Amino acid sequence: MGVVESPGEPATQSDAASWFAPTFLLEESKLHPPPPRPGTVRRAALLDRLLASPDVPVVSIVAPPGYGKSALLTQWAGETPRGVAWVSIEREDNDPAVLLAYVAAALDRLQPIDLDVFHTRAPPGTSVAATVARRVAATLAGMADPVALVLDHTELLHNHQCRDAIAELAVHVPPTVQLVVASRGVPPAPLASLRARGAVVEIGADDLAMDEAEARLLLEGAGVELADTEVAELVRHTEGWPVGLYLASLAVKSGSRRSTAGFTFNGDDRLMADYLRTELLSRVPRGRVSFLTRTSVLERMCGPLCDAVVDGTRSGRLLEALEGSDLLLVPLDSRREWYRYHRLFQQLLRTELAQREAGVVVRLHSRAAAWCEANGLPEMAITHAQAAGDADQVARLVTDRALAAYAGGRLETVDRWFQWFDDHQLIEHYPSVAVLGAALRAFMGQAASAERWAAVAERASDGATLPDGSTMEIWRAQLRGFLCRKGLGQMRRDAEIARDGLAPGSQWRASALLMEGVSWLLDGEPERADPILLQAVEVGLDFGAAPAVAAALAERAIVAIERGEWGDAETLADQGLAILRDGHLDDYGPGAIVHAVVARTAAHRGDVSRARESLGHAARLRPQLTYAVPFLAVQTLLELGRAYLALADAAGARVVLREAGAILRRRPDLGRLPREAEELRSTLDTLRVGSVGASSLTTAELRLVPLLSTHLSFREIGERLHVSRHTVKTQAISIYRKLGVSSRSEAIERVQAIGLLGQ
Amino acid sequence: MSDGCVTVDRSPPAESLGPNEGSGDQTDRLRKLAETGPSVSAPARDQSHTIGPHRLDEKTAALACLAALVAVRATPSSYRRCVDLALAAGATVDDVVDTLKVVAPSVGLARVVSAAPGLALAVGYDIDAALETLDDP
Amino acid sequence: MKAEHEDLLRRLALNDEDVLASLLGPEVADAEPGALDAKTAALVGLAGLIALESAPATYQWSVTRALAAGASDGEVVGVLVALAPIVGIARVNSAAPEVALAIGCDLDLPATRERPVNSR
Repeated sequence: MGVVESPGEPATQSDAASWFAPTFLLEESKLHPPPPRPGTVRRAALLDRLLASPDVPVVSIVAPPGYGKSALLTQWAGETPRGVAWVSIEREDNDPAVLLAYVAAALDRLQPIDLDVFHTRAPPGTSVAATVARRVAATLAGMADPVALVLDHTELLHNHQCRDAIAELAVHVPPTVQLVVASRGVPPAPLASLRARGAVVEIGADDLAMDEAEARLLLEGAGVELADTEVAELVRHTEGWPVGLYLASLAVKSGSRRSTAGFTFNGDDRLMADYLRTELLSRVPRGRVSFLTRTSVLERMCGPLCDAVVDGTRSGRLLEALEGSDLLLVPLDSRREWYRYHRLFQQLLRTELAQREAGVVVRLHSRAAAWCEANGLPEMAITHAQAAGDADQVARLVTDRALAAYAGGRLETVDRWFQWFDDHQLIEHYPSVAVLGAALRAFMGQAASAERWAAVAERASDGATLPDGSTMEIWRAQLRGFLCRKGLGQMRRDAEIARDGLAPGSQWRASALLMEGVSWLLDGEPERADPILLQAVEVGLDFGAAPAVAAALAERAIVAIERGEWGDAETLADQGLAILRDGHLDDYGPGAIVHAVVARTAAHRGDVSRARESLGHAARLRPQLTYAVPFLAVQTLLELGRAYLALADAAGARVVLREAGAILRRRPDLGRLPREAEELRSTLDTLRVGSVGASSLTTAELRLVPLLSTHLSFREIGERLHVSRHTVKTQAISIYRKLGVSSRSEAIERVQAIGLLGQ
Repeated sequence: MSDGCVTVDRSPPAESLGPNEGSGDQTDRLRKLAETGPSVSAPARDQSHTIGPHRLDEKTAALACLAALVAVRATPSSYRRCVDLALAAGATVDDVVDTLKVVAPSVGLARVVSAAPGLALAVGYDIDAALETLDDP
Repeated sequence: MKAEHEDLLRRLALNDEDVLASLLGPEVADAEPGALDAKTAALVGLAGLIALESAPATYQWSVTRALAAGASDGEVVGVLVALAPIVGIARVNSAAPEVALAIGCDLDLPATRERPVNSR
């Protein structure tokens, strides 16, 4: 055996990455402010205030709906000399990978940036806030001209990772940059500390409330003339609430008796709904009311979609007409193809729908789901199918999309799709979802739910076909192989079944070959393992299964090390590393074995700094290594142990050995791994303890490190990790001590220096 | 020549302890035991005798008391009283902190570690908060 | 207070080995290494700390040292068990949650929730 050929030309390399890093289609309309509408009042005072504070890092705009936050920001975007990168947040952005993609795209539209740094994989339960914020801040700092990043509708963000990332960014905004955050409620930014530093301009409801002059302009824009006293009265009654003023103007135009009463925002939706019904909907022809309420189930709408939902034919024209006449509709693009309702009215229309025709809601969602699926919008279809309770359709769509979304790094999104089945106790009925979900959860480090779902998949009778064309039977074998619950021999048998039975085009064959090869390696037969591992590399490259390729290269490197061919080993390990880099798999948990082997070969060569760097990278990934994929986790930990040993770091070696031991207690039948662990332990006994430093951070502590690197308090960190504040404090103290620091800021510096936070 | 007693004026806590059916009288006594000394009936001034008669200078006496508190794992409020005495007698905050260094070989490192937070609080430094807060950027 | 004293107080509260070692007088620091191996010495040290009823940071440091010297989780817990009849169950009760945390089990009992520190 010689050195393996380098895996082909650059073109092949990017093919290798291609399957595992597909992007999703960005919704272009989110990257622009809503198109301005005629008659909108220019908010002179507020604009002056904003334009006069160019050096303030953060702008926070918080007000209930209908105060014109987006309108103000749109006007400001048009008048500021800064380049404005705009993102209108929607529900799908509750996934760091998605949010980051939109931020990247928004910045890229201003000035070409390095998009590579914006790839992230954030398994649920981890925290990427600190790294994401750093990357965005670094990119912003590197932009030639002053930039503003505008995030509108941040009230829709409830995912902790996303909110924390924006909050961290708010604290680390580079000079010449402004971060603008608009929200209905508490914005994702630490306002108190920003306020204390004078680092934020805050605009609230009081500021956005209109005065008499602005009210008059608004009324004039709506074609309404009132006497001064009446305007004053109106402003007093509505308390300057722009939407209230607008509704009043409509009422005046229609001659309603409530013309001067106006309407004030007092947070009471029932009153508002009542007002809407009498003042707005009553002026609308009956058929059109039904159109409005029924289409309110849609987050975004176009003519054909509305036709499908209301079972009509001229929705496109209707939407155009509606958009011209009042504030109800917000166009999403300049071609006037897609719209959404103003959120305030959408809420009310939905309430109205629930009151008038509650029974029809499910059917509307069903129609929407069917149209979306038929028109190439599967993920929108999932949302509607879930609302319709159509589990069959959800299962079909999720099975179809999950792998691609997972490959693209949208782990929170995938997790939410799967979670829906758990929340509704449906998983028993959808074994194909169970088998897929179990595999992905295992790789995300969610051992308990992976096992639970695997059990469901086992119990099911055969039937479904998986998206790669393989049968359930084969996929179950593949899953059994990953989980390796019944020992090495069974894993080999399962891998062989999968290898032979996977559909011809399946990207998973490489993983099956990998498992087969590893099973021989762990049985002490490296000569049988190596050719199979080589095949795994080749098949994986053909089908673009980057993770399997990288892992197989690492395993081949281990074989080379056993033969004493350290040079070959290092080459193989480096190739594995390149595959990970090209595939944006830096944060990929199962890739830790590559880093472990790089560390070993570097240590052997005496390149201590490279070894330490790889060990730091692997440490960052350790929280994702669980008993879910036990052979990979234990192998990785043992390789790390050997690397630590090579660096005479007994404490570090012991920590990873302990963790390997914990997994071995659950999965003892892993060939020679238990014996190897024992031998390593004995070797360690001959070493002096030495000092207990950064390498002895436990996996629990490593899980805490990314959160410690944010501005969250210990209590808030405890909430994220579901532990008490006391536990967080105790673990933090242990981390400080092992790092040799005495403060949180020093700890953050240290972990960055040793590579525990990633780039 | 004074007999070396140091007096610090300290009034009993003024706030009411809230309604406590039946156990109210014991609550007072317990509270005082937790914070000052056993003689509930003695006037306020007399409760300040934390240091008995001696012939050392005031500062040394107070720091010696402090050392003893480290050895017996005193409560933070005990440290507070002793530190107030020491500071009043002319010790600096640095002197107080150095006491920990001085006693370490004798009382052992475990005691010193246990004493650090309470003693720090007595000189106005909240270690707990300091370990959690980040430096300003 | 000087910054160096604030730093000292923090490091003491953390049970920072280097700072603590610097505080030891020559009669302790320059002692001859005994016949006990590192693991046994660490476990014995842990026992002493339990008997003294020490700060969480000290228990942690001690358990980490014992694990680094090759003690198993079972041996660490064994110290608690062995000590119970000697130092009394109360001592063991207060040490157990901190020892647990140090070997990676968060018992998360109500007792381990934050105890308010008496402050001004």
